[in-house]
Amino acid sequence: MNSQNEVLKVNNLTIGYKGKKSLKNILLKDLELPVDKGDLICLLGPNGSGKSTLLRTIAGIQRPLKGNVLIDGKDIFTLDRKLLAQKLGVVLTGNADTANIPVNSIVSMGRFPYNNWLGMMRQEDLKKVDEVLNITGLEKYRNKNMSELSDGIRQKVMIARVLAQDTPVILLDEPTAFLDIPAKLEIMHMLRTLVRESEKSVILSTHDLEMALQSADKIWLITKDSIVSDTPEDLALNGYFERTFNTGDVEFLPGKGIFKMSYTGMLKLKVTGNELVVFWTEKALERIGITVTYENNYDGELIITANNHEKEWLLKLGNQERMFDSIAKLLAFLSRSSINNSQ
Amino acid sequence: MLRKNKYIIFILLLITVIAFCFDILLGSVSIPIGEALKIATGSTKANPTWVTIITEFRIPKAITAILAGSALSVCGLLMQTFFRNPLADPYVLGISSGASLGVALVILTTGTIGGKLFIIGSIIGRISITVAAGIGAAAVLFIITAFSKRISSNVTLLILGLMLGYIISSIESVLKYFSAPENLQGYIVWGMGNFGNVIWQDLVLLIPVVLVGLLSAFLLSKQLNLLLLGESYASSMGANIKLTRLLIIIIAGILGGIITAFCGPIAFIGIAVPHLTKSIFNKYDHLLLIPFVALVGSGLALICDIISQLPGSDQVIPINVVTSLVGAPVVIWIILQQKKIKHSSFME
Repeated sequence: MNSQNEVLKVNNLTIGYKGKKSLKNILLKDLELPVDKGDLICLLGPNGSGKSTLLRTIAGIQRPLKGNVLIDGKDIFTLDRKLLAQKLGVVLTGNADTANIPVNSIVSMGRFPYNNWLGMMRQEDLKKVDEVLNITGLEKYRNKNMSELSDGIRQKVMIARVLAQDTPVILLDEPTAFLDIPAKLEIMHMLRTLVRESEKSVILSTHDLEMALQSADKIWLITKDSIVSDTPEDLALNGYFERTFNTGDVEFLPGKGIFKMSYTGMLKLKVTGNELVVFWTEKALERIGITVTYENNYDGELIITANNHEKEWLLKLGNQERMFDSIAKLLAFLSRSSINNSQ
Repeated sequence: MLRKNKYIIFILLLITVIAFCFDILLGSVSIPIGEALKIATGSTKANPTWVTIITEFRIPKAITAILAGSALSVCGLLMQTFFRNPLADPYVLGISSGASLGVALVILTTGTIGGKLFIIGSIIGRISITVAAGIGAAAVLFIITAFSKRISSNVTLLILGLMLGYIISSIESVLKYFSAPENLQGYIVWGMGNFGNVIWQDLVLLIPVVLVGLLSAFLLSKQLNLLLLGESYASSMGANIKLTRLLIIIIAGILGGIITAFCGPIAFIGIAVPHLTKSIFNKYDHLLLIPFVALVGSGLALICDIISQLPGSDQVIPINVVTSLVGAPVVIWIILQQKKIKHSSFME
């Protein structure tokens, strides 16, 4: 890896909390993680594994138990805070309580590491704020108070603030939590574009593996008390996700890159017909615990005929044959019959 | 936006100036307005009693009201921003409790003669009360700053201040229980607050301390703005949290402490004025908020003082009665108002 491109280095870092007396509550230890210019890194790991603590430590908000974090080769804990704020910006998890502050003012706060001790905005600060409001599409909200905005827009404002801070490294702690899917995708798209166009390095923590697989250059995957850093594809092929996330009830499907709730279905059905309808039918069947199989060992057959106007599901089960005109009716019947079976 | 604010500032300044004049013209001794104006502008030909009342009593009192109003309001704003709690006031750190204990020790432990001295308001009594209150406030401030270096959470600090207040007031209760009724009366009168105890010699100390305190608060504007997003964000944007904390506590302690020492604990100004100001100007920026809050605080304190003189009668009611009667409804009104705003924005 080219060290010329390295902007941040996590160096022999052990994080956690100091307990009573000499006892330490270690979350992650001996971390060695390089961050290159223009990397979008997703930090993944189960709840309570230390994602927030790691980000807070890298941001210099919290002290490590051991080791250090270097930015441009300098230790962030000895670097002047104002200088550090020009190199590294943060968006913390959850909603900051910003009730009655206008959007414009929140974004302007990002310029504080640059302007004078009274916080007066210079011409270039105002220009930067305008530019950021423009690229984040927040122009129309600039005079609105934060309390008037939706969660998604508020999160965008907090990200706009960190963009106004104009740092080469940006950390975001669960920026897409609590957002609906379009808002999630929009924020990821914004970050992706940002990384590509301005060569900033972004590290963000998330629970959303599917989204991370789509957008990350690199994934930091928390395993037990350490972190594996690699491209998402290599991690998937080497079976890391299954090992980390599989519990009895949920399993990772490497073939599809998604998680699935695993039911042990009693009934096996073979489903044939229109591809799209088969896809959704399969989802519905899996939900009620019926396994869809493509092998020849099945209990029944479901034949779908679909055209623009109507769809029909023909179920052949044992010596019965029944026709349904919606998935709901099909499910209702199957649930009833599977109860009968189990009795 | 700015233009609208300019009008508002002009109106507020006008109100404050008018209130200042009325505070001097009105009082329990009725002096004809023409005479009062002559005296206030330096004429000494008038009735000597009236001259004394106006120059030695009413003018210092009006100036004290301005100082107390602005100091307590800015102090309240600092506490509300620092603790990110709209209910914080200048006394949350236990500073007024400290002052009260100092005063209680002086008034309640001297003999009956001492008690009478304080009620009449002799010079010795007055000075010893001020010094005792100052020492009490400073002691609490010292304890809080010492702890603040070790405690990282502001909520813990808030609780510490409140608990310290409880401990101190229980000591006071013991003192009250064992003290003579005359002394108790003196103590209770002090606790009701009074702008009128301050004389010119006191102002020589009070004016510079309050001005320096207000200016220091103003110079912290940027840090205070950053703190609006919480300590973590503030630190991530380059604020030195430890230093800022210490400075905020010291400035708030001095502003709240010195006013309590000279005027007794003044209720509600410190909590109500920041809310009132924010609702008038709809501003978050402390660079503007601090001067605005000081202005509104001065005006409100003057108006409360005028009301406490009960113009037209020769009776006076304690200033705390008025500040509470004015302040509490203001806070209630603002809270209801804010709720309305939130609801209407939901409907859109």
